[in-house]
Amino acid sequence: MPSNIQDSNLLRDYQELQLRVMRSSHIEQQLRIVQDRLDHELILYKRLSAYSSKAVNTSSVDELLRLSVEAMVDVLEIESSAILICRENKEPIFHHEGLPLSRVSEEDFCADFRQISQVVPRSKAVILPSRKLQLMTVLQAYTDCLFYATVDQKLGIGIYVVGLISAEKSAFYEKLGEKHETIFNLFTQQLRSILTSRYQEEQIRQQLVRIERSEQELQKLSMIARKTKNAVLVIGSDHRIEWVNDSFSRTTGYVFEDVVGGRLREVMKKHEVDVEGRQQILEAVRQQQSCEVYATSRSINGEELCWNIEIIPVVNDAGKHLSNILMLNDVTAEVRFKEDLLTINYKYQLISQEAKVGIWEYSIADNYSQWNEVLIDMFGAHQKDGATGYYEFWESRIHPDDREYVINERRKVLNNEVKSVRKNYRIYNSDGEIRHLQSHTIGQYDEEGRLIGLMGSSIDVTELMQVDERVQSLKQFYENIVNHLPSNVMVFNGQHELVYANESMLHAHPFLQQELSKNIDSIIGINNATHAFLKRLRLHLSKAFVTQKVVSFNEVFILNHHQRNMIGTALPVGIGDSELLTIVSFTDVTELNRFQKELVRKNTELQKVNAELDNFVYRVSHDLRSPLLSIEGILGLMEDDDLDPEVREYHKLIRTSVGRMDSSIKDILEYSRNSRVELKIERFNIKKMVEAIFADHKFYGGNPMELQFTPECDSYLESDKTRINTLFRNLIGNAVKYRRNVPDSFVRFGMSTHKKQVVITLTDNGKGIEKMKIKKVFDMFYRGSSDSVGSGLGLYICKEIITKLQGKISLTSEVGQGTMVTITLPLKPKLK
Amino acid sequence: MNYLLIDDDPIINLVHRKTILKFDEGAEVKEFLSPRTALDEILQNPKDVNGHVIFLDINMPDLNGF
Repeated sequence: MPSNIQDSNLLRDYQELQLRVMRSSHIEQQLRIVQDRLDHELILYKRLSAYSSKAVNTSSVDELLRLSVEAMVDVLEIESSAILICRENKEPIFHHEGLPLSRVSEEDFCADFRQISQVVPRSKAVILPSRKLQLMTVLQAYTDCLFYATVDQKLGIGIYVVGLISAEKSAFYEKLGEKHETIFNLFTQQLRSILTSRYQEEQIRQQLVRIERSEQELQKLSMIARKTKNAVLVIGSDHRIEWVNDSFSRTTGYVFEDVVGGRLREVMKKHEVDVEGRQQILEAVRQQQSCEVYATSRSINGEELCWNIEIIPVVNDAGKHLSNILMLNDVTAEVRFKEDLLTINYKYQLISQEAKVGIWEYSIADNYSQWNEVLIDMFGAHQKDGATGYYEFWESRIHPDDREYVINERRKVLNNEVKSVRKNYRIYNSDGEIRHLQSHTIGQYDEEGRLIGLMGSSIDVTELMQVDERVQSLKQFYENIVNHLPSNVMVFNGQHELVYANESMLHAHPFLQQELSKNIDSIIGINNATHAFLKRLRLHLSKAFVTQKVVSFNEVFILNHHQRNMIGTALPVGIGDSELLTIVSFTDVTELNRFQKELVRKNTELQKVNAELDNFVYRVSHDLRSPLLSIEGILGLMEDDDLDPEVREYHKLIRTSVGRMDSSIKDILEYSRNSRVELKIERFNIKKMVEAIFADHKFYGGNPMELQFTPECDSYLESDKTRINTLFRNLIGNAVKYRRNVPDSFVRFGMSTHKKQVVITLTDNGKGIEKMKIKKVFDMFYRGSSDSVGSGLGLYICKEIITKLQGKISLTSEVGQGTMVTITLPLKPKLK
Repeated sequence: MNYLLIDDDPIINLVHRKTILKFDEGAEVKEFLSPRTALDEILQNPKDVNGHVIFLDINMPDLNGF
């Protein structure tokens, strides 16, 4: 079959053609696919290009990253994207698109990113297969992953870029391949370069700001250095002074030119910086150390300056030492003030120590007290008492009766009720003695007036108190006395106010009770009499007050309707320096006056009687003597030679009797004369007197007698001549009368003058007197023996005369041996 | 020689007269017991008493010798 063959050929051709057509259409299809793919890729590249142009124009890193994550999803046609930027010392920046952050935390993603970066090459875009993702914590949910990680050392940042897609979730899942890798690579390159440039820009900007800022800083610093009160020195690395500020010149007096360029060592020497300070500064500069030094120097005028010096080494960024800055803080005033304060404090301590003032201070903030030594001694406190701040110890030592009061007073200050309190209280010291303290508590306040503590002082006033008590009791005592004095006493003070009137006074003038403490000028009497009394009293008071002398005056009080005469005295008395009192006292002299008058009257009477008596005695004696003399005269007429011997014998007897009577009368006369006549003192020669008296007695009859004087006998005596004459007339008379009948009878007179008295002795070798009688010889009318011829008045008169002459007479005698009379007289008797 | 004896005690005057006459026999002796009488007499003839010796007691009643 040709046809068949033909047909068969044809069919074969047809089939071949058909195959060709099929093949060509397949190719066409293939081409179309490629075309599509290329078109698609072109779109992706266009998107990438669009991203690039947008990204360059972003204004901030944040904006760039936001754009980047969005663009990544678009460009790569993936499900999610994320960018993590880690910076040194800063929070990481994380941006994402499409991550399920509501379910998985940002940190978990970041942790996975970091983990992946450990195993993939740096700075290369890679596609991670799903089997690798299976190993990750959160990323296992995705099928494919695009990953890029890089580190920029210069900028100090790490960049992680991640794209994610999962087969299940994406509708148009396409396994990531070469195409994606290429685009991702391009994308990351662009991102990186933009990011880097952004960060570089930022860094530059920051550096610019920093430079600007440090310039300002520098300006400020130099301004401060120039304007500061502190003196500032800049020392170069060659230890020469590079710069000083105005304050340095102002304080030291050395100007910029004096100092700059000089070596630090020499400059310090010139400024007389103290040796220790100099060494410390040089050492610090050499060692390039920052430190503080205290030093003193002298200004150009020689004044001492005190400095706190801060040495600051200046080092550049490279660590090279450039210079040292010396900041000199002038603390001269502070140092002086501190010294003054110390001196004041020392003085204050010394004063409190010397004055025995206990001082304490209590701080509320510390709840602690400090005591000075005086107070510690006062209380007898120990170290352990101080450890707890003394308060409990102090409280325990207060006298129980005073405790509540004292603590309350202290609390008043603590509660801000008062600023200070003064209190006296008792304590027990370490010996258990009660001591009285006078104490003062003062609140301490800060600047805002808040109470911050207490301080106070205590003085031991025990002795003072005791003295005070004594004074009080004495005062009581005297007040009692004055109160019960019979005299009326009033006391006025310097203002003429009646401050006191005793009971007698108030009894005499009861109205004064209401007038106490009133001025005398404002006291009004109750009647005319008291009115006048007060008026007179005012005059006396002011007189006493002005003259400051006692004023005496008479006053009449009416007491119980009787007139009483009073003697008033106003006595000004100063008490201390200031107080001036006038004590007015009245003494009732009514009785006294009466007695005095009586006495004067009686005395006059007595004197009269006495005179009369004397006169009487004299008259009697005299009148008795004249008839005796008459008898003697007649007897003389009758004496004739032719008288009968018997009559002659009678005559003689009569004569003897008349003589004895006459001598008795003379004795009485002498006695009366001694008592009547006043002393009359004169100087006279007693030896001559004694000789004359002895001569009168020589012819008394009997055996001869001799008058002797002791060898050292004085001649002159100052006394009453007449009385001394009577005295020796009697004594010598006795010696002559009672002489013994021996050949060498004598009477010896002696007188010696001593400091204040004259001693006269009269010794004889006569009959002597019996011991029993010696005592009585000076008695009136005593006669020793029957053969004595006197009146018994002789020695009595002698004794009376010696008494009148203010002397003494005594007598020693031995029977048959003799008698010695000793008389002592004052050198100069007083005239009464 | 003329003598005036003035004493209130006549015995004394008598003793004096006797004693005077014993030593001066031609003596003219006048006696007075009262000093006033004596004074009156002397005052009446003051010239008469010239050269007279007078014994005068000084302690007498009425008027004494001084």
